[in-house]
Amino acid sequence: MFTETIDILFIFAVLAPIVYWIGTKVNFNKLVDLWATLGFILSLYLLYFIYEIIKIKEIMVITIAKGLLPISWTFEIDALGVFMASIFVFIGLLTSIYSIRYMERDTGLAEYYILLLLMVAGMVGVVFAGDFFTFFIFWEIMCITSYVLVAFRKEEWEPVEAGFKYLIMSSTGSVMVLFAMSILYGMTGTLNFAYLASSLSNGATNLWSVLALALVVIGFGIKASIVPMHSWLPDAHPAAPSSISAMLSGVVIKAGAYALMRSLLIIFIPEAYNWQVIVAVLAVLTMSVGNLMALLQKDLKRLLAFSSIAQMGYIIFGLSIATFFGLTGGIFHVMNHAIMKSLLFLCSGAFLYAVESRNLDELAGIGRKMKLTGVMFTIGALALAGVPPLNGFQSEYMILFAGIDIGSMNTIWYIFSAIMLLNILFSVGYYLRLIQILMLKEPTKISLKAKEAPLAMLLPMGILAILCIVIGVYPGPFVSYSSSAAKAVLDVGQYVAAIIR
Amino acid sequence: MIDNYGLMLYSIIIPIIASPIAYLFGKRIGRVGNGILSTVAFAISTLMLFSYLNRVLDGEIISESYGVWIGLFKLDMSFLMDHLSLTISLLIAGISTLAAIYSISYMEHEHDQEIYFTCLLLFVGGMIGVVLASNLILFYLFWEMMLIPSYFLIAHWGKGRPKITGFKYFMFTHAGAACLLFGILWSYSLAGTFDFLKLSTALQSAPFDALRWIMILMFIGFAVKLAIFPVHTWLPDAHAEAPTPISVLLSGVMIKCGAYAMARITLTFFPSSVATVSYALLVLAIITMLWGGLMAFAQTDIKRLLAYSSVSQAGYILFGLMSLYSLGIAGGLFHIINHGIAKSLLFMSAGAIIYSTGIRDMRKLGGLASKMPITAVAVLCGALSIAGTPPFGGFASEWMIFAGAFEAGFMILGALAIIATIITIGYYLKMIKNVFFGEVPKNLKEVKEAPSYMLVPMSILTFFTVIFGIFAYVPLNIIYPAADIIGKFFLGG
Repeated sequence: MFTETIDILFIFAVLAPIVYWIGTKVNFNKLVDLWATLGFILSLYLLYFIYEIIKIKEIMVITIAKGLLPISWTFEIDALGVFMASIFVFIGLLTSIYSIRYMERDTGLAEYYILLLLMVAGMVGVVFAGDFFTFFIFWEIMCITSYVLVAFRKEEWEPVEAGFKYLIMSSTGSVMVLFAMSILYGMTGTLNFAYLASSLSNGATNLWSVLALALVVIGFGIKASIVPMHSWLPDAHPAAPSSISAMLSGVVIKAGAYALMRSLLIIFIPEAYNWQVIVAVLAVLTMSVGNLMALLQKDLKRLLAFSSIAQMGYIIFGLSIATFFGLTGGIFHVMNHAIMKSLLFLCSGAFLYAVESRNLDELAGIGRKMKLTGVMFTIGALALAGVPPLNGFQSEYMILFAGIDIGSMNTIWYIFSAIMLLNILFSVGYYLRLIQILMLKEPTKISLKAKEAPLAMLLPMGILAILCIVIGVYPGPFVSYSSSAAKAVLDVGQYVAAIIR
Repeated sequence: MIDNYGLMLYSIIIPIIASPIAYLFGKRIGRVGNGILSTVAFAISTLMLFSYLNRVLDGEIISESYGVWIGLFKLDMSFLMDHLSLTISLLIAGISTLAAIYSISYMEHEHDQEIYFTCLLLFVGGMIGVVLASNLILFYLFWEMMLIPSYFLIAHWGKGRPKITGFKYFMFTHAGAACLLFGILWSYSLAGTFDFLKLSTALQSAPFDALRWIMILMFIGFAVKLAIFPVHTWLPDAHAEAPTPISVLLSGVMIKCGAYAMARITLTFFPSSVATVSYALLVLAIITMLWGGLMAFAQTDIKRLLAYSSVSQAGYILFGLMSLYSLGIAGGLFHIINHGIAKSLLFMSAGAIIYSTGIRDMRKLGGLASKMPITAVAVLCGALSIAGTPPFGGFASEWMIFAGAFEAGFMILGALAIIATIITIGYYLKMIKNVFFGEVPKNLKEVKEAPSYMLVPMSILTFFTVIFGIFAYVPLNIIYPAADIIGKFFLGG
């Protein structure tokens, strides 16, 4: 109904409790884990067919319930949507494999997998949506499932508090988006992206449309954790189970970045609204605050959460440049950051699994006991630090180049780019500190007890670590995949023409 | 001419491929096995590079292409071999081979041997890559790739306070690299290409102001690596505290990557902007020489003295390159070779002395000439070569550097540079006297000569310091054409 990729996730989510029940009956508790993994594999497989169609047809439009409701459901899938969806489902798949062993000490696994599958379904729906109504429904599916997943270990205080804070802040954002939607509906009488684009780009900017723009930036900015709307993230991401942290930091905040990209580039086009410099200031602020705060952390997962904020700054900076190169870099960095940050959270989960601690002082030297996990962690941290030849470098220099490239038009972009470069330089400091603490220090009493993680956890980590190296050494095909997505999002005319013939 | 396959890629990749082998099987094959693996890997690279000698001598510029790397930026995965790359890459691969042999003995008393050799292999792979890269992104990629393993080598196996030293080293060079990256990306936005072969013409129409900024940004990046005066402070710490084979590589060849990059990028692509600042850079070179020399005089730690001497010699190299005359540039490039050989020799000897006696402080050493005769000869040859005494290699190159400066009309600066050599010979004679002559302290009565894994590489290097002095025309056959190509960009060509 909502494209096969989403349908299969929904079906698997709905059937998960039954599978869980069967699993308990036949004394095979891991059945539901495998079921969820199978769901993700099928979903990824079906996504490939959509990718094949998009490669030829460029844009695919699906309309549901036309005429039944005053507002119809539209899906408009372009290269950017497929790009994002492929990352979401892929990371979801790896998380699900990882959870087979990681979550075995928890109860309530049926709920866990329902929520995980639904969250990914929601995210895929968000990037496939062709109108604000559809978009918002899937957006809320994603948000609500993620609130529950953050507070999944409800017997402890920290996750509940973090989940509650996340719930309040994020729903405020959702409400703002809803308000912006109603303003836009009032102005144009439609919620369809294509119709909105064509009617808003012709008319001059007025107070209402600027208000809607501000609400959209703040609303989505909360999800994308733009400073100063970021304060929920450093609480929520560490509190969640590590597999979920990997999802939240790796992909869920990217849904916010996607929403910003789509709405800013198609509805509020830069030629009319000139938001580039303001968004760039926010981006620069985001990366600087994120890096600065990360330097001060003693908790491994909290440090990684702050580094996510900084990395979102780079992505938003790429978006704010709003040129082909800037967007290619930004979108490419979405992919790279999803890979490296998921890798790091999964590794920190493996440490947590081994010794039940995320305090850096206690974890010192653990990389010597868990050699493979340690090496993969090192690869991920170096990639995040933007060290060649790993993947983070490839996208970071692309964003930087885009910034410098438009510097000849407005000198302020040189300054922004220089600040970003300083940030990258600065961030290496804490990543190296992290590697040194975990890999080179003498093991503490606690980390001496650590044993290497089980295979089901090493496998997804290994895949991500290898991807870090492969993308870094041979970025060609990945860059062209991202640049096709950038081209699609910049080509407003084609996006509009697919709906309005 | 363009080769579609060849040995350049393999000469970079063989050390890199050997590194996971060293890590995974390191414990099983042991220290000697690891050392032999590294030595063989580097020796194969050296031979592969050596096989290009005849083609390069014929004046061929060989480009080895593996097709498109990043289509978006029209980047190819390709490598370049000409006179300049051949000279420096042979130096790197050759000295690395000897350093690997040397490491076998050095690592005897150290921990985590397998990780050491893993890092060593990656480090050398990165350095060879820097010299063979044929576009700026590939160049930067290898440039940073050699940084990470060298950081761990210093921070984990260093002496004194290795973590702080390593961190300082990392932050300095990484900050330099950040300037370099800014310059590289800026130049692409003007030229539309990263390719070394196209960049020169593509940048000609660019606005002069922007070009000068790019040149300065890139120069800062290279100057940090080469340890030119105000940004040299990382070097004495890092080179003195690093494990000796790594000091050899850092002082002998890694800082030469900075000099190579100046010749390859700064002088070749930005001739008009360099010409406007060359006098300032010459002055900077003189300050570096004098400062490094005077600081070396004040040292009592034998490795620290050598490290400051490297700063001083980096000044000579810069001085030669910035004379902008073929003769001076050739002198600078030749000095890269001579200093690389002689300083590697000196660091290896210092390591041998420390290995045998356990003492780094020169005031506590003495009379070792009779106990360690081979080391004594090696130090004498190395020191005299760096001080520019005939018939050693250093004499030929320093003579060319000064001649180049006088030819370009910098009389006072040239005279100052010659005065700097007096300082050089002063501190080296002081070192030799303190270490090898005088009374043997009581606790050193039982000292023996260093093991043969150390003596073999030292003897080979000693041989080259003499040969390159007497038969200087052999290496100059390759170096002079390289300098001549660069010199032609300037009026003095």
